Amino acid sequence: MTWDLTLALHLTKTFLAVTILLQSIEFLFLKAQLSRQKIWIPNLVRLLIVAGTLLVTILWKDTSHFYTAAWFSIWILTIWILRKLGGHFNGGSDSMTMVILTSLTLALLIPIEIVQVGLVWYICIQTLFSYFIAGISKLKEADWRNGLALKKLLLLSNYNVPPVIKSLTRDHYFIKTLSWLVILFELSAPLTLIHPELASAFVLIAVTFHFSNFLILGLNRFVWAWMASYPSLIYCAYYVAKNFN
Amino acid sequence: MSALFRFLKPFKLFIPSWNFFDRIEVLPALFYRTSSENTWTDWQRFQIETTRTPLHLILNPQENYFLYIQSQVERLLVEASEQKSDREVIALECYQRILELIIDTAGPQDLFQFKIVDLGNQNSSLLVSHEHETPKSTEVSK
Repeated sequence: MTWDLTLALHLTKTFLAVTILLQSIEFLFLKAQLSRQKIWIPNLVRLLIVAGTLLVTILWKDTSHFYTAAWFSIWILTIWILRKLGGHFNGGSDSMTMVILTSLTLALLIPIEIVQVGLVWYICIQTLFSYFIAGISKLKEADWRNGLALKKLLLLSNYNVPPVIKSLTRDHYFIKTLSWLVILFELSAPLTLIHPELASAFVLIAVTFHFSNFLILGLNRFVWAWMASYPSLIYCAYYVAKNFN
Repeated sequence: MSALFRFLKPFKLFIPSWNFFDRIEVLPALFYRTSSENTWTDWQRFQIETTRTPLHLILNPQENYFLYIQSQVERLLVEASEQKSDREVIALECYQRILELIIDTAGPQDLFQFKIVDLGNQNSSLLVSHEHETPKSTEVSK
């Protein structure tokens, strides 16, 4: 299977629409808690637009100016909502959502191939940074290298960590090995550009990694937000293979 | 230009920081107490107890809301250290958000107070708020 720009953008649109749809539905459940932030109406409007956009995307009817306008509206509403919430609601997942949403909106507004390729590359590079910088930061910390940071995170932090995972932290070698696996996985991100098959394997491991983070820390939004970035990652691996190998 | 800068200032979204969990030195947790008829309650930890199910992979609003509050707590610690006076700290948007949360959680009381402690350092206090009287004083300009 060869990944061309059309397929990469189509999959990005589909996954991003799902991501924003789920984020919007989550806000519906928090109407009482977030009543002071006054995001109810913009969120409802965003929900309706993104649901329609998702349907249009799935049906491959995504060529009209209305479709571009819909994504632009989603971009504006997302900024509006996050501003009302003080900049972000869920840290990294909001950042990744905005990276992809901004790039995708620009790619639709400027339908010139070289611009679109550049924006897909921007998503890819930010995705690689999201792992690699996190890996470097951990590698620099002695507590991450000896497993203490991960142990503290699982035992003492505010995340609702399942008791069975907490009990595993008693095994020092296990926790140290796990720390190093996380660090090495994150540092390996740039290698994905060497070959498309490496990129596919990395994506598979990354999905498992994010799913584990959901099971252990409850970070469900990261699974969906990063899912929308992988089509760009794989496209860029194919791009490198085609143009530089 | 300055209006645009002010509008974009709260957004760290356009300049992503990918240093996830790089330093686990401080593990801040939010505690609060209330007073009614001159009697203070014990400090209570703000926490949401949920049992995670596979469905939460799709929708997990309560845990995400808790993480939102946690991010406000972490932000307050950073921003409070940059302020010169207590008045400036109280005026911080994240301080007001936390106060609103306490008031919404505890319901009508005479006084409210919160503190942030470090779970990684024998629950030592990192920040203790003033005692706040009425919900009206917590209104934030939207």
